[in-house]
Amino acid sequence: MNWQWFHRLGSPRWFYEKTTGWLPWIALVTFSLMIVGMVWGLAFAPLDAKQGNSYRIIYLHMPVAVLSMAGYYAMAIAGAVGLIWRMKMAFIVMVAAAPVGAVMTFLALVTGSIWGKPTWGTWWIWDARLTSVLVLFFLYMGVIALQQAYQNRDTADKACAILSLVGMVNIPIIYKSVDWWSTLHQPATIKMVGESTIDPSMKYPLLIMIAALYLFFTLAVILYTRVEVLRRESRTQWVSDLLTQAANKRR
Amino acid sequence: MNFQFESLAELLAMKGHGPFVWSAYSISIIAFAYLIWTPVKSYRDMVNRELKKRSREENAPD
Repeated sequence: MNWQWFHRLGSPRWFYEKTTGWLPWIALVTFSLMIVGMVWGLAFAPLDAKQGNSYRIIYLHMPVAVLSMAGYYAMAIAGAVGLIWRMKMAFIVMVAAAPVGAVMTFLALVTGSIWGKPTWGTWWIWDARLTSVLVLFFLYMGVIALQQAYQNRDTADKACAILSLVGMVNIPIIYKSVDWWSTLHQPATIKMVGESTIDPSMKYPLLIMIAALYLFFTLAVILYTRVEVLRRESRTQWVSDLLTQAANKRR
Repeated sequence: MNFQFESLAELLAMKGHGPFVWSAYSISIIAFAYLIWTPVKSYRDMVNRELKKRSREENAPD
């Protein structure tokens, strides 16, 4: 098997140069899907028989919640790759994923809270689902704080990777919390195995929004990764050349 | 697939759920913009530092 791509992926410069051309395309597809999904979900999807219009928050709430967990996996796996293969690039991606995942988790909590008020009659309740997601938010904040707590970058990277990996135990708890404990939160409506309990007319915009959020997450992580690459490689010739070129254009 | 509301005013009101739905969407859009803007701003700051560094070097007496 040819492993050249794996080694290339480990090069911050290669990553930076490669993604420059991708960004406009990813951005175009992301925002097109987002606009279609939002307009469809807000204005064209049928009314929910029990929840009325408030259910339209699902088109944001569920995708950001999915990404808060998928993003955590991405961050932890990047950390593991960094620890195992001592790959510079993996730690950079891990550091870049933390703020994006934290914002996704924050949004899952806030949109959920706003949806909870008209549906459950309360903004917040200390039940299993909501509390475990709050723990997820604190885990992200922990990784961000830990990154800044160390003088030595290598130590910080390793500590963050270990915290991310340990925190992974929380993800299946979040996922299964609605089945294990009694909670106000409704169970999953879209299932990998078996029938979904959501009507197709409501499901399609939801699937579009999930795809849009996955792409958005990718886009944001690439942007954060590129800045982190420039920061960490700031003493190299290629970064100095790149910034000089950009500065020349500005004048 | 049909437009679910009689008018734009009804779309905004959402039978009383408007404030909840629209605030959830507004907060999310602001957060998405923040996630794009923050790295772009960091990049601009780096280029600006480079510009400053060079103007210092050019103005420095030999």
